[in-house]
Amino acid sequence: MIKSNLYRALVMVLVSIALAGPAHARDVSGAKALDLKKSSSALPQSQVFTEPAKTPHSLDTIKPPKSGDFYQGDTKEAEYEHVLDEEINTLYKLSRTNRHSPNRGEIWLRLGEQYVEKARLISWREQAQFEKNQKDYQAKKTRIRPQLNSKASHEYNIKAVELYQWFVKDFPSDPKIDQALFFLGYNQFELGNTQLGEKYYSQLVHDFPDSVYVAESHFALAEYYFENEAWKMALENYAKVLKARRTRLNSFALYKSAWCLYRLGRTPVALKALEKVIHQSRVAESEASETGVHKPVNRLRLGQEAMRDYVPFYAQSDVSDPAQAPAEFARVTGNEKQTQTMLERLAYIYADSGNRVGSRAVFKYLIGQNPLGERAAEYQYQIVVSNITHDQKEFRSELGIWLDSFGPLSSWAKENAKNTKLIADVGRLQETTLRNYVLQQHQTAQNSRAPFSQNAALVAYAQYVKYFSNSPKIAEMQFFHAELFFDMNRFDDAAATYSWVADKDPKGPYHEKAIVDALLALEKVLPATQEIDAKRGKSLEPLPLDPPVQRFEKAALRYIETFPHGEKTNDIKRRLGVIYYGYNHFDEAIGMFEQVIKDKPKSENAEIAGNLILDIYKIRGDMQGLAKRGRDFLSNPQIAGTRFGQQVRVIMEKAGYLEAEKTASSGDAAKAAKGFEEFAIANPNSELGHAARYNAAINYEKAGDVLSAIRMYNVVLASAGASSVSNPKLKSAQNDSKNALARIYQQTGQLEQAAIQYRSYAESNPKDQKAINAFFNAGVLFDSLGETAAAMKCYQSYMDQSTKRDRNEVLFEMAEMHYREGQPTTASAGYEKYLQSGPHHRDRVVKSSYMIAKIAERKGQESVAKRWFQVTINEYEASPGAAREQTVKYAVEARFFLDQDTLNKLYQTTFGTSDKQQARAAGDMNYLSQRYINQMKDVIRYDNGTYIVAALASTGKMFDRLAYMFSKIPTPKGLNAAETEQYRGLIQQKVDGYHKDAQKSYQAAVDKSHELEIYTPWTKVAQSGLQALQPDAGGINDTGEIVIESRAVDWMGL
Amino acid sequence: MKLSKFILLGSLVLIVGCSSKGKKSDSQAGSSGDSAQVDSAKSPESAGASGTSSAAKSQPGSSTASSGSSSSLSINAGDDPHYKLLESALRPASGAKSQSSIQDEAAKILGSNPGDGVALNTLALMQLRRGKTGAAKLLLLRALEKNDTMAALHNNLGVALMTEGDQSAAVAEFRRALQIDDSNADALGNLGTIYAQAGDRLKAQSLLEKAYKRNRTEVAIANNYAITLRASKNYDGALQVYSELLKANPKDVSIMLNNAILLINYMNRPKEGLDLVYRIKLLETQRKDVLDLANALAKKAESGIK
Repeated sequence: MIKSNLYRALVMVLVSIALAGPAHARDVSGAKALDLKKSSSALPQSQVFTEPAKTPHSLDTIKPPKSGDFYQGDTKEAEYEHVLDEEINTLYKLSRTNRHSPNRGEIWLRLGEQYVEKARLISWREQAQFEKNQKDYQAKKTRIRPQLNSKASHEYNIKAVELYQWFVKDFPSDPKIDQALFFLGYNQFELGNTQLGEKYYSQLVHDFPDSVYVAESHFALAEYYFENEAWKMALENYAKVLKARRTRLNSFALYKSAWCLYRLGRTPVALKALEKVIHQSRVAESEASETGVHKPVNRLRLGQEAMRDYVPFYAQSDVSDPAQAPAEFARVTGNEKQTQTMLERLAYIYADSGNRVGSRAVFKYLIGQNPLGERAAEYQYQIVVSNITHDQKEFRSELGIWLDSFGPLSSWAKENAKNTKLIADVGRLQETTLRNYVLQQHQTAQNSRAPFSQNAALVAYAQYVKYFSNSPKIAEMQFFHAELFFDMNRFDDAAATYSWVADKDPKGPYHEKAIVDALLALEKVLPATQEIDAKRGKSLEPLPLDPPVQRFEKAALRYIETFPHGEKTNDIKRRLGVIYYGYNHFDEAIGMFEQVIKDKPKSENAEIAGNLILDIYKIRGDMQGLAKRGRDFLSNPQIAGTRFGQQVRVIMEKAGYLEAEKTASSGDAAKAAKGFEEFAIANPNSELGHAARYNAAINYEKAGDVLSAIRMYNVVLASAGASSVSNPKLKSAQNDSKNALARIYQQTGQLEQAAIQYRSYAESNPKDQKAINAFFNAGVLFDSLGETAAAMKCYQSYMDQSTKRDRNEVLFEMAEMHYREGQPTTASAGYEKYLQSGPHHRDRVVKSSYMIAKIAERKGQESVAKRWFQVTINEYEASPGAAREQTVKYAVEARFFLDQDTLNKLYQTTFGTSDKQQARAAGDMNYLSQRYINQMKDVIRYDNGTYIVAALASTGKMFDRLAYMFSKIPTPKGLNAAETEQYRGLIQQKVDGYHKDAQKSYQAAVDKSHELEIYTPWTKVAQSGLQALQPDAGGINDTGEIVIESRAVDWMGL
Repeated sequence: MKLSKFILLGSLVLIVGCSSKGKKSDSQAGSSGDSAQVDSAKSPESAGASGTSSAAKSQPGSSTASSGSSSSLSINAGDDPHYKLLESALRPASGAKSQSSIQDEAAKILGSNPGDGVALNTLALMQLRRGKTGAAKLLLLRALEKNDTMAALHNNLGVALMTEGDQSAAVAEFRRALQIDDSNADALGNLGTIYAQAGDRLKAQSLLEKAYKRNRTEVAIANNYAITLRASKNYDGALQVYSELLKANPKDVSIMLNNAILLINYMNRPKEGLDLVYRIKLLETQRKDVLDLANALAKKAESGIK
């Protein structure tokens, strides 16, 4: 399976590179996540869920109407104006004819009045036109910003001012001077000259306090101050108007006084004033009803305004109390309906001013008054929205009440069923409100990513689904519901919800996206590639698809079916194909991949699909099929020119390589080796050439065809040097080839080449401790071949570069080699160096000591030799049993050598000529000979054949020598002939005895030698001695016959 | 030599590690065999005496190919088709041997069986012939790792040891060869010769007689056998051996001298012996001891004739 995985990986990342590489996990490059980037779907624009737009109930927007508004307009304006114009003409003519008349003042006053009236009529029209223009401008019917054009009316005002000024100038003491002052003030105000106007009014009220125009002037001044927000002065002038009871301006002044008081913070008093206005209105209405006269419209209207303004004043006052408001309003109005209206208004004002508690209380009161009333739903809505930004918990609670109590299935809905518009409007509002709320929650969750926010949004979505499962917006909402699940990593829920959207809204804007996102969600819970790999193991049998994979498969197939030409269809096919591939559903995978290629042959998906198709052929071992499919691909012109096409060409080019690899994996190394070699020959410049040659070598070696393996390894080594520098793989292969060659050469007995390759391998890897060991191997081999210099160099390199603890052991090898090469001095120094290096091998320690002694002995350095022979014995005795067994020959030789001292002393003994001297000498010789015999017994105890023979032979030789020495003993002086004869007889007996002992020893030596089959120079010594003492004993070499040395070798029949 | 074993083992591990597709079992076995042989090749220097006579140079095909033994005792690889190509390389039709072809054929065999005794033996003998005794020992010891019951390998190792002068170790190998195959002609001859040199005539005669019966053409064996016959006073038998030898080797001075000694000193046939002495004096120009002995024999023979 590793191999199959390798193949898969190879195909994916360009076969050319991976073929020679290590095994890889199953390809996952094609398993990359769907490149369907999950576009973040923007939430639908929810209305900023603040409190509802304020209806015009704001106090700031409430302005007292201009006093003129309360004058009833003339319905027969045109007729009136016509009459007015005639009058003006008449009066004008009169003024001209009476310009010097004392009555001219009266004419001026009358003409001035007509001009004022005329100006007023024109001003109305100008105002009306201005208002119309403004509407048009606001309706964008015109781009010209309208301006009030008072030019026409002002002409009359100017004429009037001129007339009144003439009058004041010519008739300063006229009783109607107050009238003139009044109209001067009036016209100046109309012309915008307020200071001048104020001046005339002030002069009037000051100089003519009893004038009928005083109240009008105060009123005008009050209005002027009111407009300029000089509340106090306005209030003072209104108060003076009020003092003049029964003036037509009384109620209005009272109403305006209430406003001044309100503005001055005197709300309770203001409330009282309004209450009085309302009362006057009710009285007037009542009186009109009783008398049947025309209703006093201005006063009634003023009463309505007062009732309207009473609510905000009340709301702002200290006495404001939602619980008391119903009773208070009922008292003021005396009318249930108006009370309800005022309460509703109060509730809104409370809401507007942020008094949620008051608002909620009043609205709840109103609902309680008529829970099935049409307005009840609106009231509850107001309660809901008043909480939306303040108290989420309360909001959700009230929202629930609203949805439950005023929803489509509620009693309220049944009660108002006939008002279908109302029911529909409330339903829409509920849906909109809840939807906006949900989306706002979702937006918050998106922004904060906080689990709390996400859960809150989820709850909201659930609520929406509960109440509005049939809403036209349900698909959209469910889509975003799924989005939220996705964001919360609840991919299964997300997938289910996306699928719901896809099912329920097949033509909706979210349909395709829902299908794609369902796929993406399902993809998120797909098992990881490693998980699939682990489950699949080495098997190539189809694995059952895991449940999440099954769901993904279903969703993917649905997408493909629904959107055969969808933007993402090709990606999804590729992804599904890769999954099939991962689960060994190869047929399904190929089917899907073929579609991918057919749909978009030049795409990256096609590249992946094509590679995996080829990989499947490889996994199945169908190399012929692979080749055929590769050719099919290349025959498609749309593929041939693509990057994938190039890859296929490479694959095809390397088909031989792949075949060889397959053969190798099947175990037929010989065939694989040939395949690799043929590939290398056929593709000399291929990137895989080096790998092919190296693999050929490996497989030849594996097949036992070492000659071919050697040949191919050498080809690898002969590859261009420059490329090996730039190609680390080649360098590595060459390095491995050196090692392999060394191993093969050694295996096949080609020791020279093995040594050379080991050395080369070690030299190529100076930092690799394992490779450095090869120096030692090379040293041993060179040594065996007698190439001392090369061996020495290798040993030295090993010692220099190895970090092993026992690297100094090569010192011993080097010393041995020097000795063999006839360099005893260097060898001796080497042995000493070895002994100083802290050696670990006791046998080598003993031998080194022995060799130093032996070399010294041969160089005639007797004392040095003796010292080192003694060291040899000491080291031997200090060694454990195994080492002693190996080195006993050195110890026994050392012992034997040192014992020769005894013989030397013995042989140096001289008898002298006196009997005393001779007796002493004989005693010494006896002692020394006995001592030597004992020493030789010790030697024999070493139980070493060579030195058993040596000990026996040397003892025989000692006796032989003693016999000789005794035979040469001079006869002491002074002996007569008989004594001399007796003396010589005794000596001869001694000599014969020694000869006998010598013969015994020689014979024992010879016998032992034959017994042990040890034939050393001491054997010859014994044989020669025996021959001399026993000439008839017979022998082989005594006649001079030549024994030809036989070194017959056995060629085993070859 | 634990160090070398250790190091080689380490290097082998390395080698195996480097070869991802190597035939592990074989190469490991083969290489570890090598390591042991390299190791064992480091035998201590022998203090034994070296031979004094020229070594008999047996040639491929001319040696005593053991017969009648089981394959584990003596191998007659010439009958084995497996070794036909190696045999052809050793004895090419053209007569011109090629070192590389022998090496290649051996390598082919060792490639599939790194412990093949015949191939390793062949290579070892080639090395021995080149004077690379150490290398020969290395290969033989490796061969013995897997083929300890091949008498030929022990004999040949004994020869290598003899060449190095380690006679006692050589004797042990020859004896081991004969323990395995008591009819191994080469081991019989080699060991018999050593006995003969050492004067152990009874042992020598027993072995050399067997060897001689298996291969009468081997000069050293026949010559040395004749000496033992003479030592046991079987003068006619010795004379017959010498006569046969001289027919095949009419210029071999050693045989002539030994034959002359037999005729002059032991068979009282001075005239025949003198003829040989004259030929010796004519052919031998280097060895003074031989010339001195020849002169002495000539003198004795001449006086005898007179």
